[in-house]
Amino acid sequence: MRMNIIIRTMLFVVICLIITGSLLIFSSTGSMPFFKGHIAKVIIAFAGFFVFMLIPYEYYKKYSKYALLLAIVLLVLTPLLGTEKNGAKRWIELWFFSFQPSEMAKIVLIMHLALLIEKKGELIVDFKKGFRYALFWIGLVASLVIIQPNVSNSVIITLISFTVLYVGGARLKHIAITLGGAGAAALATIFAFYPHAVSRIMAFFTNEHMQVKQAKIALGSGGLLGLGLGNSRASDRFVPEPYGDFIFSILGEETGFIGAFLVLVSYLVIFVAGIIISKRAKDTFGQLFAFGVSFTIIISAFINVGVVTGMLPTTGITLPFISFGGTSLLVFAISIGILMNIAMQNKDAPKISIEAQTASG
Amino acid sequence: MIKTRALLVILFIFAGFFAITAHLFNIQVVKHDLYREIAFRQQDKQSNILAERGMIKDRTGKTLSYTKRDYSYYASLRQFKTESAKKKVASKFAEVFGKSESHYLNLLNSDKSRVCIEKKAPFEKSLKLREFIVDGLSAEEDYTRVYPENRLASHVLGYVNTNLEGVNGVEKYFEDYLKGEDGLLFVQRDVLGKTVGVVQEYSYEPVPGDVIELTIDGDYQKILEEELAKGLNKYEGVSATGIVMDPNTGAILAMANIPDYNPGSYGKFTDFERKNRAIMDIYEPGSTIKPLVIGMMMEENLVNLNENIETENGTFTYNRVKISDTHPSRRLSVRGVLYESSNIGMVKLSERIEENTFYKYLRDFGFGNSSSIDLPGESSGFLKKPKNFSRISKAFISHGYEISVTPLQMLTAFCATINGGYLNQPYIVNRIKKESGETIKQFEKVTLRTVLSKEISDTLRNVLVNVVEEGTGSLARLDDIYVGGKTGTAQKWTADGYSTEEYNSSFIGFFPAKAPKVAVFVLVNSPKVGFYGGRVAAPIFKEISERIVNSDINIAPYKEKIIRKDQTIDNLLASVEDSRNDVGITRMLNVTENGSTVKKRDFSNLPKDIMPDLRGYSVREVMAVTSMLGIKCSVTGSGRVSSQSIEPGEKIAPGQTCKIECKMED
Repeated sequence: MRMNIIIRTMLFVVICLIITGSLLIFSSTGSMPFFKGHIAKVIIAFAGFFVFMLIPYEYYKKYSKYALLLAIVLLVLTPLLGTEKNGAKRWIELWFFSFQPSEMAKIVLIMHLALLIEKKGELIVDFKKGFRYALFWIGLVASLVIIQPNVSNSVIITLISFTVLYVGGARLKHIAITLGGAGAAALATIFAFYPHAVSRIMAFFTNEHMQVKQAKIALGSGGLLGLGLGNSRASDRFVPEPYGDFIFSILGEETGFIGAFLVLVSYLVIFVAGIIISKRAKDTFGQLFAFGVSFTIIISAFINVGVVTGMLPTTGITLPFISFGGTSLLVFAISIGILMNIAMQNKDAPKISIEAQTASG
Repeated sequence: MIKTRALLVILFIFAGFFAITAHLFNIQVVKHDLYREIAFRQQDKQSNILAERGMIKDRTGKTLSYTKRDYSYYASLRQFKTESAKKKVASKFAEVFGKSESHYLNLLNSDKSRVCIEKKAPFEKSLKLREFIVDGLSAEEDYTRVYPENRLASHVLGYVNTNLEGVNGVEKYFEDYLKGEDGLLFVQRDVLGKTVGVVQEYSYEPVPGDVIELTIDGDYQKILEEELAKGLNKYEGVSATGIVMDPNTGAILAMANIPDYNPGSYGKFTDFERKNRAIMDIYEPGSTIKPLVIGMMMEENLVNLNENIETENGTFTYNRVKISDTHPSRRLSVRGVLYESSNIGMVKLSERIEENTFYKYLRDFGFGNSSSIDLPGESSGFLKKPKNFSRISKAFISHGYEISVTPLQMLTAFCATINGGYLNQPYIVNRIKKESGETIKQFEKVTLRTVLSKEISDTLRNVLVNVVEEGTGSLARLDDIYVGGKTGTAQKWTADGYSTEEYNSSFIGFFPAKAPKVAVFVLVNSPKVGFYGGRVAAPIFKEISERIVNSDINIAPYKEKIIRKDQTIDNLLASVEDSRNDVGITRMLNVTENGSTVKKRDFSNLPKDIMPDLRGYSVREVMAVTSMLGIKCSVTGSGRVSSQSIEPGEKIAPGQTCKIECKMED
């Protein structure tokens, strides 16, 4: 398949998802200022996308360590400077929007892990010479995220990181042992210090979370074809903050199973496109970075939908490209920008004019 | 990058995709109906907007019944999260309604999810609460049926239950018109039960009920009720019923029963008080049926008004049943039979008419059938079929026994004898209007059949005028206009046969005599004073009629004082022989008056300076004599004169006062 087609398809799908998200946010809030705020973030996200599409991804090899250190500093600062919302400090207020460092840390960590694996090469199978460096960064970032507290994001960062390590060639034994150890330690910590996370998990097994129950009612009342865009009833406070993590329920209510399924397929398309880009990337860094980013997008989407449909305990994972939330949108747009750049520099077509791509996109 | 591992991850992703899709399909498509139902229940609420019930007005437009819109205040306690919110509500309500704060706090602390904290708050109080908005506190429209005239026309109007559904009277009979159509508010609510919006598509405005305009005249109704109550009190009866009807159309101008009730608080009254006797009670009409029977015989050419009937001095045995008259005579003309209300005369006359013809006329007069008035609960009375007649049935029916009628039936039939012979369908609603004023239905006179010819009806009407002028209905006479009518006294049927103590005393009269515009029915059930229709019901009729004539200029625009004595004297001067020697003795003379011959006491030959013997005179005659003699008199009691303060034969001087005591003759 021509790279061009893959890039175009991916861009088309992403733009569709962003438009869908904007419409849903408008329909579920019914508020013009809210919608305008979202559009401003969409514009910023596009800017981010273009910038990162143009930056040759090889540059990251030089700066990934500093980027990761910056992310870690921000994560450390978050509990100190952050804005508290719903009992957690996850946001840093920037000039015009609040910024969630954990979202940024996620992608920077993948980037650095990809670089680490490329640098270490075969050494990654060795614990002392390779694996432990990766473990150090993962542990540091995950720990900082967990103390915000943001248990679910921490778990997902760990999951993505180990997936990258696994695909990158780390030994399964190391992964299993560290995951087991970290898991046990994390569980112990959670049970000791995070009653709200425990209660959420317990609630998942005992009775349904109110938000999830309402989300399911919204989805279920959507039926096959949905109530039509803008006709959501659940968004009238039945599903609290429907524009955020639970926007998928409004999507399902308004566009029915057909719409929800199409959105799921969209994520799958992005993922498959990302995998193809990964496969054709010219170096291991590019391959693993593209793989990690694609995996992050789809796993976020699946976890979000899993939560909304009641398959998983509630988390704070956003629905990529659709959920209201500046950081999430920006980080995912940047991810796509990086994927584009990796794609443009693939081994089959080393010379592709950036201008031409931009115009076609 | 290890390809097999990447493939494994991809595989997991695809597995996840299928799992999520399947799960989503299950929720959205398989369980769609379930979730839709849940969503519908929690999100939407249909609430009725009560339609405003239509008004009931009298024929002049006076409002007799309307609906007041109040507000009731409800608290949804789930939404009262804080004690301070409750405190706020309690103190505000305590301030507005003047009750204690703790009263409201108790209500707000109950364990129900929703409590009514103030029911039917008056408008001015609800105004004070307009700006007072607290989550969970809601005001709902609450309607009350109001009867601004209180007891006026209570039996006609009926009443409504707490849901404002008509239970009795016009309120019940015209329920479909009055109730209007409730609107529907299709409200969407959020999870807290707050209204999010209204779905216009499914919502519609209520349609207010129609206005019922009665044929009832509020003024007539008031007069009728007051006079009936006064009469019932005076004659110590158990109950009294009165109906005022336009004899030419059958429109009911007033209908009342005493005791009555207040429809606004109907629950405080007994069934006895709430019963509309005018259409529900049946009674044996007694003598009021006599003109009808005479009428049908005239129609069949079986009788001549001037022929004489032997009336056996008041006692007669007919088929081994004793018949007696209250005013015994040896012989009476057929007119006289009506004037003196002779039962014996009627019994004898009844022999002339064939049973089936008799029955047919009674049916034609509307007996044995409900009148189909637009009121609920009407009784159809009881009329024997000829095949069930005994030997004495015809004789008894002809003077008002062995037949049961409702007051309304009786009046309607009676009107047929005076209005030219037409039996009209009685009706009580003039028209039904939309709330906007547009007439939906106009009720008009419906003539069911012609029972008597116009000629016979005209003759009977004159006879009935003379029943009042000269016969048993004398206490019904008015000063200003001629009235006609017939008394009726019926012994009540009890377990021991016809009672000698309990009577139904009635009078049916009409005026003005020449072209009646108003017919009035009065019935007093078991009076303890008087008994006779002529003594009890006739004076009540007189009071009612007098007030109606005085209040409604349309009835007798050219009324003038009837100078009966002068007329009498003029006639006497022309026809009476001089008999000045018989001092103080008067004679009965036949005098032509008002187109027919009546008996008049002749006192033209009384000396001017000697007190005559007034004993046995009627009050009216006393007035005539004393004014002729130029002396004053003060009359106590009623009926015929029993004693006089100036003895007969004493010298009298003009301006002297004579005290007269009257007694009912029994």
